[in-house]
Amino acid sequence: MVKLLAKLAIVPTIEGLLYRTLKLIFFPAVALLLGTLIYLVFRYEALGASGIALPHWVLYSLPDGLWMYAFVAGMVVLWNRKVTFASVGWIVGAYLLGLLYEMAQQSFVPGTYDGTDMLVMALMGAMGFLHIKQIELTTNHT
Amino acid sequence: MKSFVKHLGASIAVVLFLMMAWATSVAPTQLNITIEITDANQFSIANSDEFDYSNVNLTLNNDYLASGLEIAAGDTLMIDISEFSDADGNRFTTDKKPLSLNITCDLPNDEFGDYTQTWQ
Repeated sequence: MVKLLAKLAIVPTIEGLLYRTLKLIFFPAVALLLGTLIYLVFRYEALGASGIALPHWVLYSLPDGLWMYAFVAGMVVLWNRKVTFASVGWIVGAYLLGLLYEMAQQSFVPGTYDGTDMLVMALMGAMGFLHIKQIELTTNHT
Repeated sequence: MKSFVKHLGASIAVVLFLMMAWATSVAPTQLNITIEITDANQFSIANSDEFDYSNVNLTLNNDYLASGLEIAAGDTLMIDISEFSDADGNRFTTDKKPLSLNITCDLPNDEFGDYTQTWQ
């Protein structure tokens, strides 16, 4: 009976929950890994050895954008893809924090501010918001 | 309790993001350099950045070094291939083929730069 209900998606199974979780974190996880792969393999270790010449923005801006997307999308997923009073600060804050960190490299944060980084981060971070499925910011007046 | 876990998870995510951002932002700056090998067996190393390179260290084929050089913004350094020597003091000779040249240097604002060029 439980199996039948599970098949009808009435009762959640462990497998079902695992599948749903993996499905939710798939894109942020892939973005995180891909950004790290570009950063570690192509930008550093293999750059000299392999001679693979990727475009400058792919090497230096795309990893930032992918991490930004993973951060924002991950935050959205963490909050069950719902924007509520409890989550809005974290979700919007994650986006702003990423952009502010890049901007702060013009002054007190180590690193080099780059306009292309900023643009890629802004665009890919905004893509993280596409994971939002519900916005519940209205207050209940009783 | 569930909300507390979410806030905790979000806090951890923020800390991890900041740690990652910090670790990558203190990484070397990729230099805007053009390297050519002249017919006279010299490296022509052009600094196309808008800042000076100081304490420039050149590593040829991973073993042969030339260090303590300066390249001002917009300038080109000409260095003879025989000025590179390995840890035993052996000079790089023209019968060897340059395969890679790595350049590291100090930059303004306590940053440091890195560049590697390879040849087939």
